[in-house]
Amino acid sequence: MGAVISVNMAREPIRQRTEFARAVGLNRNGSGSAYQPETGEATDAALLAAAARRDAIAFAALVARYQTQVFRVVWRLTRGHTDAEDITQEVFLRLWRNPGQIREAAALKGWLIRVASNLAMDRYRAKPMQELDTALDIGDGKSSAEDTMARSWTERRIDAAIAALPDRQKLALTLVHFEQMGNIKAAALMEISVDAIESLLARARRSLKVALAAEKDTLFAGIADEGH
Amino acid sequence: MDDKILNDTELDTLLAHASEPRLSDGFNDRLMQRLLSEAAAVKPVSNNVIPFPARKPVQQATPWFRAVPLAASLAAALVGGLYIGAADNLPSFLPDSSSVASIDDSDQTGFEELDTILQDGQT
Repeated sequence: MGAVISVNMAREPIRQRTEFARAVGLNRNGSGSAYQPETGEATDAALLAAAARRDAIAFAALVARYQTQVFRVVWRLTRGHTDAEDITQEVFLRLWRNPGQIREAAALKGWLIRVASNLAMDRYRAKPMQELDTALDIGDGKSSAEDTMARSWTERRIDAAIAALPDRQKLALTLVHFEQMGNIKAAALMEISVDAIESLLARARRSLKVALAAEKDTLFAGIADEGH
Repeated sequence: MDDKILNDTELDTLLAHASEPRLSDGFNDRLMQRLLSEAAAVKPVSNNVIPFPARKPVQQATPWFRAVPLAASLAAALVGGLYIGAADNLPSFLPDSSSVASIDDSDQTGFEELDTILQDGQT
């Protein structure tokens, strides 16, 4: 029995959950799935087609493939807010509900990041300004205590400077610098021209250079300490 | 070096030390939970549909024998018409025309009498 979970999903939640967890844990022993790791890495197209047939194993493989990238973008745009995970889940839920909306598998990553950035900016824009002001002071939004403790002061200060950038500059910087996307691809994803994204990047870098200059010595000292 | 602004190398060094966000444990379980709850939320809709009771077939409002008087009267009218037409005695069924008053046309009226009317008026 494969992992077809359309109408049978609610009827057999335990079995499906087990199969999904097994798939996400990359211990893919499920039979009947389009995703056959023994034959090599499945393409996005194959996984998408299988997901459209409600193949949970294939969908889990897609989630595993892109969840980190999507989460990183959302995390940057929401300043590490706890909603980042919720938004990331929402992105994949939208994909699960209608995989057919992505006509070309090559566009999958771009689609995921575009949906994620739109959701993040829409949701964070609706947050009260009090939280934004506080976020600038403490370095991030409403991050979990565990997350905050795990990051050094230096990291938090750099994150705060990035978080203070306007949304579009932040997205451009995230895509090009942190996600290693080329300018052309990032521009296509943001639906702007290459000149526009270069302008956004230049302004973002200029703002960061100014914002972090005052604490340059402390920041580099912190980096040196971490190195030891 | 200008202390009021970082150079590109310094900025890149600092950016390399920005946080590397990580998904918390159990992300996939929570995602699956949402998938399942969403499916569960959708599923009962079809199960909770209460069908209407089957409608009884509508009976014929007018049974065939109700049309017998109408058919009989039509047939009688047809036969009567044929009889009257064949016997050529239709006038005997009509009222006597002798009592109908004849039109009194002794007065001069109409366009053809116009000259006479005008002459009478001048005299």
